[in-house]
Amino acid sequence: MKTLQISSVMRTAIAVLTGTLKRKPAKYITNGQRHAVYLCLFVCIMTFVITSPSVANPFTGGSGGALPAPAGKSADTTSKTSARVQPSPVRVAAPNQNLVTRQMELRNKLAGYFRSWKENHTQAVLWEILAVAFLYGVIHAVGPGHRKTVVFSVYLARSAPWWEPAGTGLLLSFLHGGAAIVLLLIFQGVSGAISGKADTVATYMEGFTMMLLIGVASVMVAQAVRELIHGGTDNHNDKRSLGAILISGIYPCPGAILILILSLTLGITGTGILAVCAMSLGMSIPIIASAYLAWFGRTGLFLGLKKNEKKIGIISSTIALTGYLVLLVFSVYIALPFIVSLPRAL
Amino acid sequence: MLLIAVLLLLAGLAWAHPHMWFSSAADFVWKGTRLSGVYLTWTFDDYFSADIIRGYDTNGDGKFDADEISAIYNNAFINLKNYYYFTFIRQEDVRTNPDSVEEFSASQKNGVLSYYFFVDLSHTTSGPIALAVYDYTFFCDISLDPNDIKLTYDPALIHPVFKITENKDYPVYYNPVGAIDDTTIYYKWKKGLQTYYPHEIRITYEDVTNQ
Repeated sequence: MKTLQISSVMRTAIAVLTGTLKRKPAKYITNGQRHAVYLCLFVCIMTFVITSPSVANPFTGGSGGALPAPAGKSADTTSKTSARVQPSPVRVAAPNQNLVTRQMELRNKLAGYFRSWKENHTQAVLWEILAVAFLYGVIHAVGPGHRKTVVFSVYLARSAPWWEPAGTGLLLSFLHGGAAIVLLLIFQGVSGAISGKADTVATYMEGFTMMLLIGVASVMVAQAVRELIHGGTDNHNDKRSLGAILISGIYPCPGAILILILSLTLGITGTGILAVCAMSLGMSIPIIASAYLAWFGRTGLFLGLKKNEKKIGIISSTIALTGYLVLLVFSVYIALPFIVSLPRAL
Repeated sequence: MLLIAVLLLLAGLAWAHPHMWFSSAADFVWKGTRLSGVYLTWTFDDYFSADIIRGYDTNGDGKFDADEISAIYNNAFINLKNYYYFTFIRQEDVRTNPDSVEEFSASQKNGVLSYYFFVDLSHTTSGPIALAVYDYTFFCDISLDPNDIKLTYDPALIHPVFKITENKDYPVYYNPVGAIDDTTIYYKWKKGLQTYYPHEIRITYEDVTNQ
């Protein structure tokens, strides 16, 4: 009986997370139960993450000098070391050096304004902090990650009212910055470096949220195939997938964490939180732009097809399938390092 | 579809960014005509500096004592041995990394943190040598300013010169799907590996006593 209950909860959790729950919620699961499942999963992930040693930052990972020295390293051979077994962050590649330099300049400016603010609380300095944080957010999100490809593929796949891409972009970026604020409030009392612990949390949460995206994308691909073959649409599933995509944005931004740490050490945490809000607003710009790129493309295409209503259904399903396939392939590609290495950490 | 593909590329370009910035200064030291080693000084950005100072200047006196430096070494430095201390040495085709570093110290000035340590190069053969400092995981962006390179030598014995160049001939490769404990670098390309071109400090010097 107990086994059955556990199995039922697991099935429910998976169904909720992947949006495959049948639309019979009154008998099957209530909203309260659904929220409880989300909360349990969040607590499990956080517990797992917080009790894990820091590894994401090359400086603060590992532990005091107990690690073995690197093995022999010579030309035409590979060198392998043996650090602690932890999952890898999601995929990384060489960044654009211009973006890197611009980010560094803006961060240095922001640090300078923080110090000025500490000395002299003038409105001008506060506006400078907010403006620089906003610009830093824009450039930060122009670069890697931040779910730009995710929102692009989603708004390529699904029809949406004109305001929705903006709302999704704003929510995603504020969840990203907000998670950093929550994390700082949790870690502010710990001894040693905060960034090492926070970066580890970011690694796990980003990895798990990418895995969630893979689940959602798989279900949406299956649904799009079904619609292509049998016709019809399932709006409820569509809405749930959007909800899951928003949840997938709940992982802390390491850039925001460092801003908060500096503000904490200067005793101006409130100003740091304001700066992260401005940064989040800035981060939303490239995300919203990506979403509207797809939204306008899709809307324009369907306007062009207005006179050919027979084809609209097929084309709509084909585009939905393409968009969700892109989301699936992208999620798998990005999450692969994390997934491959996760079993070692468990 | 072509437009969609282009837009997708634009939306998905580049997915890594550094989270830390620091500059690396180098002081190459010769003993007689032999290169003895290099003192590296890493000066960190305000953010990592603030974190380490908050975490390890436990008595808050604005400087690090021996115990605090030891704590920094154990908790915020030594793990770099798994990343070759970000230090890469090349003599022609032979590429090596330091197995250890010496004389580690940490200091702070106006809220800015610096690490200082010595890398022994006495085992290297005489002749041109290249040294690069980089993080191939892209977590840190490390800048190298020619004005921060110093050569300490006896001009009566040798005449060393240096230049900083991006080495396209000797890239390193890394596995983007490797686990975090796989901090391996590869010197020969294999399928699935990604490429990194290091910026090297290339030093050439002549033993003038032989002339």
